[in-house]
Amino acid sequence: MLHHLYRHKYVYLLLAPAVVFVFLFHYVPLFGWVIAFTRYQPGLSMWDAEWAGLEQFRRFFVESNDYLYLLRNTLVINILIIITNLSLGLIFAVLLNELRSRFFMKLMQTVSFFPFFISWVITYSISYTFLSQSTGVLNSILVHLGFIESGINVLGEAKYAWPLAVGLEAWKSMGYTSIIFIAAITAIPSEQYEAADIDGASRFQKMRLVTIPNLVPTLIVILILNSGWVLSSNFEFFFIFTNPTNWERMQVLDIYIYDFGLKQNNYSYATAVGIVKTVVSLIIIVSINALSKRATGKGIF
Amino acid sequence: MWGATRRMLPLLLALAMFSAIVVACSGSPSGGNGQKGEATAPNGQQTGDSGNGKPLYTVKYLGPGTGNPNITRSDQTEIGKYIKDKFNIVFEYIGYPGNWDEKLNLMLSAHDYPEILWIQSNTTLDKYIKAGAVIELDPFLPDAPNFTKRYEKMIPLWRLATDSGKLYNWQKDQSDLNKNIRGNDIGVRIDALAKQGYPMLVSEDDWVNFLKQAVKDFPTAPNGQKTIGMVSPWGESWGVAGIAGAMHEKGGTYTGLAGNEGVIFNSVEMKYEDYFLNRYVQESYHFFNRLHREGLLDPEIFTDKVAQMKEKVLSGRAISTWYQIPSYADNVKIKESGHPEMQFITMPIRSNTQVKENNKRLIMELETGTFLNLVMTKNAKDPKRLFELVDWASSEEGQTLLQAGFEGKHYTVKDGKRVPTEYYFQDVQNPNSMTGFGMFTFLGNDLRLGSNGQPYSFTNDIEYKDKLIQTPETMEAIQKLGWKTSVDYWRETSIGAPSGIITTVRIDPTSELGQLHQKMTEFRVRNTSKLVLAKTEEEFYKIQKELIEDYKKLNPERVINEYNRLYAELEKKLKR
Repeated sequence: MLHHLYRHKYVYLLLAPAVVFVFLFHYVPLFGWVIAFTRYQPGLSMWDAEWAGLEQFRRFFVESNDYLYLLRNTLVINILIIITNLSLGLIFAVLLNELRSRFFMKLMQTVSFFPFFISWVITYSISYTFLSQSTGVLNSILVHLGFIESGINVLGEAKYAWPLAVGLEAWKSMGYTSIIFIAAITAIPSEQYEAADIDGASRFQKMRLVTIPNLVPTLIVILILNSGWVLSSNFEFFFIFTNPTNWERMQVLDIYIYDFGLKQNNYSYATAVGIVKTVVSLIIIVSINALSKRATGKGIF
Repeated sequence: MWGATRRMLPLLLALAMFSAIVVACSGSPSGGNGQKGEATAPNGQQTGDSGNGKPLYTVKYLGPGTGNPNITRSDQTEIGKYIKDKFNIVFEYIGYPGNWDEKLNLMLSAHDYPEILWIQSNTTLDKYIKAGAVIELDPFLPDAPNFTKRYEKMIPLWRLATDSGKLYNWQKDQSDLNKNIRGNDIGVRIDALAKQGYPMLVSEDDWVNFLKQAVKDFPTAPNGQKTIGMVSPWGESWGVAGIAGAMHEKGGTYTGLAGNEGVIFNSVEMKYEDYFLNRYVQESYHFFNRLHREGLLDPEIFTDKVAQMKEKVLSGRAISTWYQIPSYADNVKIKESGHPEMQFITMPIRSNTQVKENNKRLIMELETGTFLNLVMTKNAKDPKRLFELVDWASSEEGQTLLQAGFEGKHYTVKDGKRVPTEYYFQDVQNPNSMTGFGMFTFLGNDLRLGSNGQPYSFTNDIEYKDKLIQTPETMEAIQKLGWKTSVDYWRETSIGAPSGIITTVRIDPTSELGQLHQKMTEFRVRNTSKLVLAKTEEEFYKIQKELIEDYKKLNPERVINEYNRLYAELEKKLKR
C-alpha cells in the first residue's frame, strides 16, 4: 500500500486539492447538523446551545403539514424537469447528429446552448416581456388574433406554475444536456452504422436501433446522478418566480428553508429541514440505482 | 538538469494547487467587515496626528442598499469634511444590496461585523446583545450631555431591550405628527381629477365610482395600451404582507406601529389584536375585490414589483396607485415625457365604515421603531471617540448641520427661524450633490421639531415642503381641490399616536410561539389573493368565512395573548 502510494505520489498530490476541497466544504459542514438538535443562537457557540432533541423535526412533521405540499411540489417539479431535460436533450442531440451541414449543426448547437448562460434575473425579465398578462408579447398576439379575450396570467396563476418551471428549465438546459449526448454519440463505433447500412437500414432505423441504444448507458448515469439532486431545486428560479398567487404550486423545500430558517434567524429549524431533504435524497438515489440495476443491469454503485 | 526539473514539475504543480486551496480557505488577516485595522489616511498610509491632536480614524460603514456611487468616503462631502476637521473621523461607505437582516445574522454567526451597525429588527438586536457583540453605552453617557438631553424620553424605552436595563443602542428617525402627517393613501392622476371636476374622494364608494369613470374617460395610454384603474407593487416581499390590508391605518384605532406580521395595535384600548381577523383589514380586501370585480384592479398586482408598477405609472397606463405614491422625481419624468397632465397627487381613502365612524385618523409618531436601531459593536476600534461624534450629532448644532446644511449657504436665520436659500432647493434636488445630506443618519437623525419649533430638515417643514415635492401642475390641482398645501386634508383630520413601547414588544422567532406568529403572517399573505380575486360578492364572503375558520385552527390568540402579556410586563418595567 505504502509502496503503491509512493510510486504514484504525484498523482495523489494532484488529487489532494480536490480531496481537501470536498472534505472541507462537504464533510466538515456535516458537523453543523448538530444545531438541528439544539436551540442555536447566531453569535454564540453551537456547543453551548441548549439541547432540544427532535423538537425541530417535530415542528416540521407534527405541528404542521407543510411537508406535504413541499415534498409534492419539490418532487413533481424536479422529476418533471429531469424527465423533460433528459428527453429533450437526447432527442435534440440525435436530431443534430442527423444534420448534414456542419455549419448549421454548429449554429444550432450554439443557439440552443446560449440560454444556459443567461441569469435567472434576466430570464424573469424575458419571461415578463413575453408572458405578462397585460403587455406580454404572446398574450398581445393571442388577444389581437381573437384566440383569448384577455391575457393569461402565466406568471401569477398557480395552475401554470409547474409548466412554467419545467418549460423555462428546458429552454435553459436543453442545449447543455444535448452536449453530453452528442459526446456519447461521437463515441459510437462507426462499424455499427456501416453494418446497418449493409443491412439496408433507413436513417430512422439507424437512429432507433443504433444511436439511441448506445445512448442508454449515458442516460442511465445522468438519470441516477440527477436523481440525487431531485430535492435540490434551483433556488434562484424559485426565489424570483414564486409570488403570493402561485406559492401553493411553486414553493419548494429550498425556499421554505430560506423563508422559515434563514430569514427568521431560525438556523436550527432550517438545518432540521435540510437534514430531512438530504435523507430523502439519499433514499431516492439508492432506490433509483437499485431499480436501474434490476431493469438494465447498469448502476453507478 | 532538465530531467530533474521535469521530475520536480508535477510536485511543484501539486504543491501550488494545494497551497492555493489552503490560502483561499483561510481567513485573511486584513479582510472582513469587522477588521480591527489601524486608522488610515485617504491615500491608505498610516496617519499621524491631525489638527485636533487625534489620529485619523477611518470607520467602515456597511449599510443596507446600494449607497450613492458618487460618494464612497464621508470626506468627499462638505458635511463629511466638517466632521473630519472637528473629529478627524472619516466613514467609508459600503453598500449591501441584499437582504440586510440575513446579512446581520451571517455577520453575527461569523463574528465579522463592522464598527457601527444599523439593525432593523428587535429580534436581531436581541441576538447581538445576547452574543455580547455590542458595546454597552452607559459608561459614555456622563460625557454625552447632548445625547442624554435629546433622547431623554427614549433612553428608558431603549433600555427595555435587555432584562438588565443596560443601554446598548440608540435609534434614528424619531418622527412626529408633523413629519408623518400625510398617509400613503392613493396616488391619482391629475387629468382624471380635472375631467371629473376635482371631486373630493374619500370613501371606498367614492373611489370605485371615480375610477370607473376615469377608465372610461381615459381608455388608453399614450402608447395605445389599455389604462388600469389601480396599480400597486404587491409582488415585493412587503407588498401583500404590508400594504394590501392597510385600510386599518386609515381609521381612528390602529396604526402600522406593530409592523406587518400577525398582530396590530389598538391605540384606543391599548392592546394587541389579530391582524388578519381585523375588521378594517378585511374591509381592505373587500375594497380591492370590488375593484377587481369592476375590472379596475391591475391583474398583475400580485406579481408586480416597484419597477413594473413604475413603468405603468410613467407610461400613463395607471390612473391611480395604492400606497406606493409616485414621487416628485416620477412627476418630473412624466412631465418631461410630454404629458404634464398625467402627474400624480396624493388623496385620502377610508373604508365606508371609517367614513361613517368619522373618527380622527391616527398617525404614528415614532419615538421608537423596530427598524431604527443603531449599535456600536465590539469591533469598534475607539468607541469613545465614535460616541463623542454621536453626542455631537445629537446637539442642535449637529442636527442642524446634518439636516439643513451650512448657514449662509443653505439657509439664513430670520426671527429665530431658518429660511432656505435658493441654493438649498437646487442642492437638495440635485442627485449629484456633494453636500452629504442623508449620509450620516446613523449618527442620529431626529425628524421631530427642533428647539425653535421648526423641523431640522426643510423637507419636513410644511412651509417649504411643497416647493420641494410638488410641481406647478400638481400644486394647481391641490389648490383646485380647495387645499392650500398637499397635507391640508390630513392636518384637519388626524391626530398623533405615539409609539411608546409598542415597537419594543417582540416574541423570539425561534420559539414555538414565534413560529406560530410566522405562520399567522404566512397564512394572511398566502390567502389574500383568494379574497381579492373572488369572482362575486357571495364568493368573497364564502371564502372569507372558510379562511377565518381555517385561520382560527392555528390558535392565533396564543400569540396575541403573549404580545399583550409582554406589553404589560414592559409597561411595569418602564414604570419601575
